[in-house]
Amino acid sequence: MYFRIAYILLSVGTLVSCSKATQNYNDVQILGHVASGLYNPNQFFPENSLEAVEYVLSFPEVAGVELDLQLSEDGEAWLFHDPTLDEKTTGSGAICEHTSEELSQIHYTTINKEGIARLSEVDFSRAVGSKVVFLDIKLGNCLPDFNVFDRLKTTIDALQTAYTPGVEFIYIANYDSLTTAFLNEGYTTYRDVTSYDGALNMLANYDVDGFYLRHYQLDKDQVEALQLLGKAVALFEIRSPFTIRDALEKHPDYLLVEDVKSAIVEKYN
Amino acid sequence: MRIIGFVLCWFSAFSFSQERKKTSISFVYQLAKVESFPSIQVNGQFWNAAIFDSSVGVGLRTTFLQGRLFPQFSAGLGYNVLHSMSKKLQLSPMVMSRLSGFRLSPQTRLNYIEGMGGYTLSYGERVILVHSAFFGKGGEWNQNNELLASFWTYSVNLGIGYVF
Repeated sequence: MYFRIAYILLSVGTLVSCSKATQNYNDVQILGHVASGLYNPNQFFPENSLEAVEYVLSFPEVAGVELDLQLSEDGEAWLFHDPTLDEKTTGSGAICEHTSEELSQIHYTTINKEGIARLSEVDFSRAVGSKVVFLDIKLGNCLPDFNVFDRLKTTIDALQTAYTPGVEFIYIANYDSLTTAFLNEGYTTYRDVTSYDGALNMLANYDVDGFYLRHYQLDKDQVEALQLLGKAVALFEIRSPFTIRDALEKHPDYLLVEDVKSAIVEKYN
Repeated sequence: MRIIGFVLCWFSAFSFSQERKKTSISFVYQLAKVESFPSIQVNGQFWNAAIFDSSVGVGLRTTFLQGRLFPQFSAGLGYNVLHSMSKKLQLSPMVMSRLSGFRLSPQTRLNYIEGMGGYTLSYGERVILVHSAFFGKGGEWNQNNELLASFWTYSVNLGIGYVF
């Protein structure tokens, strides 16, 4: 009886190990959305945390991470996704309502109590191989008493000086004034749009380097059309293996995925 | 080949035991931190009321949706605290360890080791309902034995089995 079950198990194993036709997705770079994913029950570390960034960048198959940058009340760059701290941390209110000293006391409501990360604390030099880092700039609704662009420029210049050429930084600057200023400085600048037409309209006003869209907002031909215009395409909100497969088939420049391990399996299957 | 050897040894260990009092085999669905694992679980009662529990399963998503074999093996020891009170109901605090792993890409293999504590509950005489829950620590290693992550882990299991 036991041996019969063993043989059944072995048969199932053999069946699923049979190789599939190999697809070539070498032109598609995999990045971790908010490092470890927003909607990933198998993640080990909270999004945008130092631990998550270090973990995801340790995979040689991963091209980089996307992180969310918010400014504190005193103008320091912090990594946090949500508009407020209430749901996922011990704090409340927006990042821009707190000073850096206050934010350093706040941690995620996880067993390990990982702290919210300052951008300056991330050691990108520990990344394996050359990497890409998307910084999605979220300014929130606070009215700071400092010049936002000047603060961002100081932060960005320090980052680029420290890690170029090993790390390429790409900025998602979803504010018209910032887009202009970033392009004038020569920073690699992407915009978040919701459709192919939206991307073309954006190009009429700003010669951005690329676009950042949900995976279902562009089809394969539209991805190719933007690439023929010399614009890069980054797709996000990619969760299940089926979605990863579908997104890989479109051959965008970057896939910002919730589960990097699933994406690696799909890319190299 | 190592996997085949392990599975054969695992089943024969139960077949040749002289001390065996009661053995059950169950199909169990494990909702775990690393992934969900449908598994075959063998539970043996030895020496008074000590329980040895062992299972082999495969990761649902990685194996069946992505076509990459993700085997998992586990072994646990416990004690049926209700052995003198009920023949149908079995409640066993248990410690268990798990090994699993899969090939992530041509250059990377990931291995997981987990150690957990929890309980197993089963009800029935011939056909049994099995439930267990565990919580503990785990580690993820790559093929170079570099620890990539240390994490808190859990497993909530539900299944149906048959007692021999």
